[in-house]
Amino acid sequence: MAPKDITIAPVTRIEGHAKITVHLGDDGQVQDARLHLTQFRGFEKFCEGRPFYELPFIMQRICGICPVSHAIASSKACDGILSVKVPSAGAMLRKIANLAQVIQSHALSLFYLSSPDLLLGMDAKPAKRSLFGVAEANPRLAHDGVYLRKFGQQVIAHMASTGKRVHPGWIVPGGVSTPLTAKAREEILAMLPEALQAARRSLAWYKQSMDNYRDEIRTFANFPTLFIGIVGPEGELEYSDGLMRVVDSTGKIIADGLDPTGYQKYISERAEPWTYIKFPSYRPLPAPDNTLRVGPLARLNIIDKVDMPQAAQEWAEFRTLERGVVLSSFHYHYARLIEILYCVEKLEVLLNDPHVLSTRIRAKAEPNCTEGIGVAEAPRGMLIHHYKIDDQGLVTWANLTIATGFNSTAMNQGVLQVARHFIKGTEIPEGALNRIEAVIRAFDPCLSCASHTIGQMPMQVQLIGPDGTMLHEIRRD
Amino acid sequence: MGSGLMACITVIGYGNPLRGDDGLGWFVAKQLAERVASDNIKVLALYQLTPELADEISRSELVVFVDACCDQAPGHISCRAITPHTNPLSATTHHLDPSSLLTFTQALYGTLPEITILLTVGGESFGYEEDLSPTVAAAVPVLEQVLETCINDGFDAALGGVLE
Repeated sequence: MAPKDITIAPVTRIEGHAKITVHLGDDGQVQDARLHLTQFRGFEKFCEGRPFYELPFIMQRICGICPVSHAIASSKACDGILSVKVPSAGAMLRKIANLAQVIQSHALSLFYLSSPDLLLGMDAKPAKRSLFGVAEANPRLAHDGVYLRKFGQQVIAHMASTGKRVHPGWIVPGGVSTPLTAKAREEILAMLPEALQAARRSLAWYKQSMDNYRDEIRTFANFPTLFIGIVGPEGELEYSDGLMRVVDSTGKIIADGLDPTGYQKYISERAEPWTYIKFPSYRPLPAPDNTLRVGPLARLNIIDKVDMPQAAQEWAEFRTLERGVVLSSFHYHYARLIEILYCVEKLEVLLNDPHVLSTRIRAKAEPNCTEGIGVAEAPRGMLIHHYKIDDQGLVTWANLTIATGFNSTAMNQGVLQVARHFIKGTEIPEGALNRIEAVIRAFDPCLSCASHTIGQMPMQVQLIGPDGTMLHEIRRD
Repeated sequence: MGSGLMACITVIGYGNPLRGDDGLGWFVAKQLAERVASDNIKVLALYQLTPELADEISRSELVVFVDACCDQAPGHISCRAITPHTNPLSATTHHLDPSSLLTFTQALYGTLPEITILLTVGGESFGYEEDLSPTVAAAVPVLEQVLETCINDGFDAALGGVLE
C-alpha cells in the first residue's frame, strides 16, 4: 500500500517548535499540507493580575531574538494606559534599539539559518548545510553575517544601561529608563562603516545568487495576498511609529492611514484545532481574499519610498523584480538584506541627531486609561500588544497579535505549493524535504513568539493518505 | 590578579542560572568579572555559546571556557586543553560546543588562541532553581583558584598546582 501521510518533525533551522504534515490523495498527489505549532506558552493568561508596568519586562521574555520589539509594543501599550507622549529623545532611542534588533535578527535568519541553503544549494548534504558549511565555502559571507549579528547585539547592549544584548530591560512605559551616553554613541558610530560594508557585500552576493533559484522563486509561497504594515507619515519605511497600510497583490493601496490602536476594526483572528498559532486576517474581506503577509517583503511592498540613499537605490531595483508588488516569498531574503542596509544607514542619521543625547527621555504619569494598544514593526512584521487593566492597575486581559501569526495562512499555503511542486509520489527526496522547510525559513517564523512555544525548533514531516493513515514520517531532533 | 601572563585573555563562563548547577559557569564568570580589572582580560558571563564569540576568540591568546557538566562526579573539577573538532557539530542558534566554536573561529578568521582551556565541574542538580547545589558550591573556591592560576601562570601551572 502506498504511503498517504508525510510528517517532517522537527522543522530545522527556524526559531521555535513545529512539524509539517503533507497529506496525499488516492492518486498519490499532494492534497493538503500544514505547518503545526506544537507547544503553547500562555503569556496572555499568566500576565493577568500583574501590574501593567511590569509587562514590558515580562513580555520581552517571549522571545530571545526580537525582545526589543516586544518591549516597544508593550511599552507603547503602557504609554496608552498612561496617556503620555514619549519625549522625542526617548522615542528616538527606542527607534535605534529597534533598528539594531532588526539587523541582528535578520542576520540570524539569513546567515545562520538560510544561507546554507542559498550558498551550498537546497540539495547539498544535510551535514554540510550549516553555518560551518558556509564558513568553509565562503568565509567572507559567514564573517559578514557574524559581524552584522554581533553589531546589532552590541548596539542594543550599548543603548541599555544594563548592558544586556538580549533582554535589555530598558524600554519602559513612557520612554526609556536611561539616556544614551556620548561614549556609547561614539562606540556605535565607530562600528557603522564595517556594518555598512558587510551589508553591501551581502546584498551583492545575494543578487548574483538569485539565478540559481529560479524554481524556488517561482514556487516558494508565490501567490497573491494582501500585505500589511506600518508606514511613516510620507509613506516611507518605518519600524516604530506610523499608521497602518494595506496593499493588495497588484500593489494597489486598499486601506491607508489606519490608526493602529483601532486594529480590531481591520484585523480578525481565528484559531485552528491542529496548531497553537493564530490566523489573523483582513476583516473587511472574505476568505481567501483576506490572507495577509507581513515582514520585510510586505514592508518593501507597501511603502512609497525609502528615506536612506543606498537602501532607496536597492529598494527601487527590488521593486523591478515583478510588476506591482513582489509576490514570491523567496524574496523575503532579499528584502531582509535591503532592510539591514537601511537600518545601518538610519542608525547613523539618528545617532548624529543633536537631540539623541538629551536626558528628557521618559514621561511619567499614573494610569489615565484602562486600556492600551501598542504596535511596532518587529523584524518579522507588524506586532500588536493590547492590554486592559482594572482600577488598581492590574492586568485583566491581554491579547498579542504576532508577526508570524499574520503570516500563518500564507506559510501553510506556501508549504502546500512547495509540496505539490517537489513531491512526486511517496518517496521524498532529501532536497524536497529541505525545500519544504526552506519555504518556512523564508518567512523567518519566530514560533516562540507566535505560539509561545519554547526552546529550539525540532521538525517532523508526515505523509498522510486519504484515509488518514500515516504513510511516511521523517523526524529531526 | 597576579602579574604573570600579559596576553589577551578571554574567560567565557556559560550556563543557565535558572537551572541549578547549570549556572555554574555564568556564576563564576560574574564573580570573576568583579575581581578582574585589566584591559587584557575579558570576562563574559553567557547563557550559551554563539557563533559571534568567534570574533572575540580570534583576538585572544588564551581562552578559558567554564561550564558545568553531567558526565563527571558531582563537584569534580576537570581542566583540559581543547582543540578544534575535525568534524564539528552543526552550529545552531541554541547548540554550540567549545571545540566547534574553535573550528568556526579557524574557518572564519584563520587563527586560533595559543591555548584554549575547558574547565568543567560535575553538576549534581539541574532543576528549576537559582542556587548551586552544596556539592558544586563547595567546589567553586577551588575552581576559581584553578581559573586564576590559568590566567596568571598558564595551563601547565594550573595542572601542576591546584589540581595536583
